[in-house]
Amino acid sequence: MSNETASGSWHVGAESLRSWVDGDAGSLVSVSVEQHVLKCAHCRDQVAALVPESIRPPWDDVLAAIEVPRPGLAHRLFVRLGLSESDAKVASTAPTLRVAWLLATMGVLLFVVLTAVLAQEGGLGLFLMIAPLIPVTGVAVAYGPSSDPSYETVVAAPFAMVRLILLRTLSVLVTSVPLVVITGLVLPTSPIVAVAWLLPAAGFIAVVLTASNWVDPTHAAAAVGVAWVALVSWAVRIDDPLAVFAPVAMGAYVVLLVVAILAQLYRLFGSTPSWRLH
Amino acid sequence: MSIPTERGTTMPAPTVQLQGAGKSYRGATALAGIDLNLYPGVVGLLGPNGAGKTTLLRMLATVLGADRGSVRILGRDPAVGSQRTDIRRRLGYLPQELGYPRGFTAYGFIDYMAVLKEWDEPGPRRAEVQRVLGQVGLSDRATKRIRALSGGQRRRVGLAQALLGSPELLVLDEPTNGLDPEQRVSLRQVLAEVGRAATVVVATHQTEDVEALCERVVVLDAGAVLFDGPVRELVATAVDRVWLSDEADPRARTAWRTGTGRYRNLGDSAPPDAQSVEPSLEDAYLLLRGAVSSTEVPA
Repeated sequence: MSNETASGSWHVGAESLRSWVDGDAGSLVSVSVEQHVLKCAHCRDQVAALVPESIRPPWDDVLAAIEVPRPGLAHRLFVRLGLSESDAKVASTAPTLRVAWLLATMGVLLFVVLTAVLAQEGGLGLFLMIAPLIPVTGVAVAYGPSSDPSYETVVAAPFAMVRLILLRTLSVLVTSVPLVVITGLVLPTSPIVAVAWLLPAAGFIAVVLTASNWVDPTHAAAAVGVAWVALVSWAVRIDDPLAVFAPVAMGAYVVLLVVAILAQLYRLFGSTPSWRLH
Repeated sequence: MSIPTERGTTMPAPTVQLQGAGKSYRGATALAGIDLNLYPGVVGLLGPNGAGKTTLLRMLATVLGADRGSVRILGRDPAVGSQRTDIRRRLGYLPQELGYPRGFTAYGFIDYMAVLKEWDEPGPRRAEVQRVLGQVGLSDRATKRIRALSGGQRRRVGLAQALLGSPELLVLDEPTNGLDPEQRVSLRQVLAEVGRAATVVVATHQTEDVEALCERVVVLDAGAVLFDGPVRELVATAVDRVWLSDEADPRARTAWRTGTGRYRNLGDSAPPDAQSVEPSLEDAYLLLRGAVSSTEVPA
């Protein structure tokens, strides 16, 4: 079925090719022809000459349709939100977009709801404790040496680390904040609670991002988490869980947010750009 | 057989210039202030584990800053943010242990790395991803999940991302790990080709790779440069210091039984009555390191 050409490489014979295109070749010949055509540009051209132009897509388009992975749901969502194709790719590569993370988040929130329904008092405290820590945890594991196995090559690439971190943070917020807000609205408590946690969460995320210049972000998130759990426990103990949203506390979160952002800006644009990577 | 150096007259500017560059981790010295100039071509980096090879490579890859001394890479200072980004645009890096985020295909991962290397336009990016996949011989594995690839294929995916954009400085930490002999030979062909224009730094434990591929070898030990020069010069230091015998020779510094049943002895000089043989780079390396005891199996 093959002819040896002058150059010494093998090509499918015209007859075999014709019968394959017509669908008359036996299974054995078909398999051989298909294997060969995949690797041989010359025989692909021969095939192209045998089929009508209208059903002849360029080979590269065929290959692209197979090779280029279909953009996932998250990727398409980010493009719809206005991100460029390349930014959407970077954002949607965050580990937090994995199904496992989403299921875990939903599991934790379901547990909070069940607790609130079964034991009304404890539910609010538990929600307050967990709500800001979900996005904080997500941000902490969205990048960094402990969660990204290809971290070193990512660092060595020219893509700005700040942009990468902000894109990943965006992807965390998009996936976790709506879930937590919905949970808050389901709880038998003031709807304000469902959104009030966003302020401390913003402060904590800023702290984790800024701290990640010096320490592993997961360590920073752990420290923030311990402090927040202690604060909420204290508020629950004095029978006033909403004390964590008292004006003075809200003021403190704003200060935290502003200080963290300023520290980050100073590091980015300060007179002595320090440089430390772990 | 001394060949006059062509570099004597028109010495190109070094790609990498280290002057007293050092790095310590919590007081332990990883790199003890070394001086090193690198030029286009393939340079082999040898040394035992913990000698500072990986620290040096991470410094060249701008992933790690030096504590002291000066570092210039491609004429820029990696300690300055904007210059560091410039270096990264012209750099390819394969770390010692490159993992891959879950769920990626070979094509998908290299495509993602290409985005991080600023290939924003999908068309040219696709052509470049295909080019590097072809260069490492993985074109027909592009759609496979990386988890389903063999160890050698996974290593080649890592190498492919380092080749994106034809970098001027290619930093490879043990690229031949997990490759079978055929794959190692084809990797050598790729690196030799790249090394005609670019500076390629290869850290390895495989002296054969250095012998087959590199013009120049740098041996590190305890964070310091033990040898820096042409491969043949290092091999020449072992001439008349390697001999065969039927029993392990007590005068040798180290000896081992080879496949032929005879012993290969390495020592300060071959005894006059002994059957002296041509040294390999491995012999020279072991003799240079000196401290190998006769009970220790040579690496």
